[in-house]
Amino acid sequence: MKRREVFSNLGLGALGVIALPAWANGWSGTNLKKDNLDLSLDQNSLLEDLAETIIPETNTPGAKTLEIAKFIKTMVADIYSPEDKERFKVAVTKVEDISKLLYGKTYNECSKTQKIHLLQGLDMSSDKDQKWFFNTTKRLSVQAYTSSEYFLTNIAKFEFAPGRYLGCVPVPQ
Amino acid sequence: MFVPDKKKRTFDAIVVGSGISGGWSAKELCEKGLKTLVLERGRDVKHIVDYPTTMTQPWEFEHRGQLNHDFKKENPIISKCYAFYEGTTQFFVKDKEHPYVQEKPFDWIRGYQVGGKSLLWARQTQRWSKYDFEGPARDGFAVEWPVTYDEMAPWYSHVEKFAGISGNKDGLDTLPDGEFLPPHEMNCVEDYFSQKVAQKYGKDRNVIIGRAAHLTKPNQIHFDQGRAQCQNRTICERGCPYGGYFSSNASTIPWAMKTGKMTLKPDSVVHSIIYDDKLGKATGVRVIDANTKEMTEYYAKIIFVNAAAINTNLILLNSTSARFPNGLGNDSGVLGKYVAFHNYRARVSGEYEGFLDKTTEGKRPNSPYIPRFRNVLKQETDFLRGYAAGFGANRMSWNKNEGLGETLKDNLAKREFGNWNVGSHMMGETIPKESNFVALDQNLKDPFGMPQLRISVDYDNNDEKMVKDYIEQMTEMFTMAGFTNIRANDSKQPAGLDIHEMGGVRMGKDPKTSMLNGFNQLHACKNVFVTDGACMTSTSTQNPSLTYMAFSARAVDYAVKEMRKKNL
Repeated sequence: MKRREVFSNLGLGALGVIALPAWANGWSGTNLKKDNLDLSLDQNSLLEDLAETIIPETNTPGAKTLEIAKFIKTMVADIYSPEDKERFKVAVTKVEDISKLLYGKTYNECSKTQKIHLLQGLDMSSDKDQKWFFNTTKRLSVQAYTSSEYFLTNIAKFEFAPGRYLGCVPVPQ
Repeated sequence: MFVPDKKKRTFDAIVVGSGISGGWSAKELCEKGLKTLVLERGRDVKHIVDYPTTMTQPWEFEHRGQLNHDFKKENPIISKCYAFYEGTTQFFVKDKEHPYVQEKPFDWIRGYQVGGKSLLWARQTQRWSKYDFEGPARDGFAVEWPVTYDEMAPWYSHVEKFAGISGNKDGLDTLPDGEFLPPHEMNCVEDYFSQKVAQKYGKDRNVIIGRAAHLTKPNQIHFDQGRAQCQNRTICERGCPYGGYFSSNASTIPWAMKTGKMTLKPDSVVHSIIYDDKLGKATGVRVIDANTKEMTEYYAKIIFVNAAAINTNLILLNSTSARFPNGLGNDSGVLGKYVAFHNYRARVSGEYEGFLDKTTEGKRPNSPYIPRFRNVLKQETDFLRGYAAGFGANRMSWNKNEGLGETLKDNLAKREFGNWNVGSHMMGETIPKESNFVALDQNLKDPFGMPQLRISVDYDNNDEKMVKDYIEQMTEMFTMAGFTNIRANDSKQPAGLDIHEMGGVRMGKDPKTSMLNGFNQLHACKNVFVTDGACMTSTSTQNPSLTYMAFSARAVDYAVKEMRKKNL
């Protein structure tokens, strides 16, 4: 049934990209131990996996080293409205259900390619909540990464006290 | 109450408030040898040691600067302020700490601590010109200013040299030059716009670099204050460990302290000024301890009220006596009235597609400025007065954020450049009116037992016309310069959010229509002076702090001379 539709959808995309429809709303997640966002242990490790998929550890630090999942949780818990907080938690749970449905295994057990495909599917989903969840998680991951000490110091060459302002310099190549 | 205790509570002078004007009053009084008590309603904030976030790196903010959802919901007023974020919450008054009644929407932004809002200000410091002081008399609004530019000029110089003001000598009679440290640099697009405007409008319109209270190149007087060169961090509102910008905390307060003449008492909420009917003058102030709520009296020969415009009104309105049943010095009935502010509602922005091989480097705690060009020499529009404008250009750039995983990481490592963003905001003069006022609520009290203020301040038709004209003129100037994607926006923000509230205790020549004379002295109670924003007869378009500093220094000079002549 639906599982079959998902696989047929998966086959359609030349790049393996799928658009997940609204049906994914039908599943509910598990609730175990809570943290600051009241995520269960499973949801928590799933979020860590998602962040690692978005910003992976390569020869430079990725989400695990930079604790990007922790930042996402802090931001959603403290900055977002109660409605969005709830929306986020529901959507995290759905990801695991989608993974099981698509690939027959947990997100954590998926291959790197499958993990990325699933996220791309959320991005293209016709389900507003899924799309919102993807955008939120990606935006917060990017924010966490680009405002990390590693990124600002090594890549952005951030200067805390530049001591100068030059109004007209060549664009760096 | 026994005598030795009373003696301990007696000083030559009392200054109410330690913000930008109170700091100056204190410094000048102490330097002239007066034993001075400075009362601050908030907590102590010592230079450097009490700036907890001044060395915080961006990644060290748990929420990267953003404010907690519940906190914002509880603080809708202060959360609107541009300088209020995760790094500065410690320096602003939260909404519930000091409630007031908004008869009309008014965002009252306050900083209760030693140094007040001088820690948080935007640091723009332009002199008024003769056109500004002569405005009310020429255009027939408010009352005539009892002071001229020529009388103020030496006092502007006096405060500029000590505070440290950067700027370019532009030679404009609409914005007189001062005692400047080297100016900040305009970038290529700002410089281009400045030239285009000069070509098109001649001497009528000018785009100049802002004049700002930053030590671009400190002089000995600044080193003597313990201050050092500005390091262009542009996080001034967290407090500056270099003293790179002027604040009471970095400058006037420690300077006054060094004289040995100053007693600084934080956590001291002034309830009222004590008026002695027999002596016919003020003898001191009643102070509520902010923590214990106990009331104590302090005495002095002269009193400077520098509580910040609206709180100065509150204190005078609450200072009633047999002689002054409607507030201290309020024979005219104008106390609390003719409150005005600056109209910051409109912005015009756009893009420029030139200089695409150029960008900027470093940071600049300042931006260009367009002095008022409307109705300067004569009335030429269907609204009174005019507006100045801020202007700025910056090269748009971003990290490409397409993709996921390694692709995304690679993209984020690349910096892409777009067009230049150009933007401008208006700073309009509002016309003081009797119907724009603050008054005491008859029933409601604040947590200190003081009456709550009712604030009734609003825009009028003159302001609406000015918004329209600013948008038209700036759009024309942007179009003429070849800017594209020009967009105008009227935020319709309430009065108050400009944080330039002024008036209520206005200066004037005639005691029947004003509260203060030309030396900021209450007409009807000669030993009380008001030199903060409350004294302003009109607002003009300049950022007002420099003028408050100059008024404070000038009024102290006068007061001490009068004391020595035994007139006070």
